[in-house]
Amino acid sequence: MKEAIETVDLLNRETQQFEPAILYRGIDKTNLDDFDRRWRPLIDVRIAQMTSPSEIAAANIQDWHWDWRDKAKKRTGQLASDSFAVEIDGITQGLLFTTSAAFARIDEQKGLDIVYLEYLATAPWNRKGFTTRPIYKGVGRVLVAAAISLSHDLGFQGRIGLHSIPQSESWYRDTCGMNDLGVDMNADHRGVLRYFEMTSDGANAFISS
Amino acid sequence: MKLLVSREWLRNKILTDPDTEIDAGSALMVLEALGVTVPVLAANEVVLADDRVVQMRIALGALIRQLRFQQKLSVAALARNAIVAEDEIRSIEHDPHYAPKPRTLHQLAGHFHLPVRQLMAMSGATRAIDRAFYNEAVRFAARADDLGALNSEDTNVLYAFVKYMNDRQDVK
Repeated sequence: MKEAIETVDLLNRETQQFEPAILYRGIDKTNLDDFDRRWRPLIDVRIAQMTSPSEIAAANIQDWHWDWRDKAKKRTGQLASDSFAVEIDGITQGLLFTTSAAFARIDEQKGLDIVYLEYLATAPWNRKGFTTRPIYKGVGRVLVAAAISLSHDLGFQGRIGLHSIPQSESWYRDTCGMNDLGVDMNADHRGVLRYFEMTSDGANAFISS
Repeated sequence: MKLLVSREWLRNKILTDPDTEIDAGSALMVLEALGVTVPVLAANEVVLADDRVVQMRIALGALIRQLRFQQKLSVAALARNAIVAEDEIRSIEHDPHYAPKPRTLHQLAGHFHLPVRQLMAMSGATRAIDRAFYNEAVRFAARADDLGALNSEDTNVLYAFVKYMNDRQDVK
């Protein structure tokens, strides 16, 4: 069930003014439709223009965008799964899928429960790498704060973990203060993504700084 | 669940946070690997065929090798400094059929202060590239000396190409 958690603000880079946004726990058809109708067409244009069909097929990229909808359906009823959306005027600006069926890897908290961020994404029009004039800034800050809050709510004391895309590594390492455990050689991540984890102390520092 | 930070705290943080990418998760990695964050195909761009991709990767290998020589770094030292695998650097430098990982390109771009977008194009991850950039990269590869230490002419050619890449990093 989708539930409004808090009114927050995102910074409109063009006007340099904050605009009110709603942070929701749980996503609904509106968010999935936004993904299909607003996010996906922009992404598909890039795919069509940047790669050959054989490459797309080889990477199984043509199906990737359905993962969101499929995952959302599969997650329904799974107690370990959670999802969050950030909306402005009813339009999805960011999405986060988490699972609590994950365990810490850092020695000091090894084996303890964490909230693992399966997918954290901001809308294409908010991404610097996607457009020369990205609109809203702040989605990542809001969603990381949501993940830490969820971790506390579940009794995990703020512990979270995630795999970062290369362009985001400095955000998680330097700005969020997460521990960089290096490239994950697990087959799921093909030796490409680095794994980051936040300790309970790190989470406290993040929310109290 | 209650959000543990205030609206005001978020506003202050968002104002001072670096303006960078924040996405995470393996599904997104696939998009990045395919270079989908590169600008839309423009009139001055071409889509590279496989043989042209090989030419671009030869140029990429020459570029990384020469920059490494210029900094007097061994493969191991570069791998250590850029936090990438030694094997991957060797493959980039010597195997034009090898498709470098996007993270490695990102790290090398950071180490050598090169525009990552152009490195992605040279690696073949991005098939739609600027015609002039393609021509310049192939020309650089043809002139690049493969014999180790750089003489002054090699250095001039290298610097000219690096300057060209940096000057064009905002060109769509």
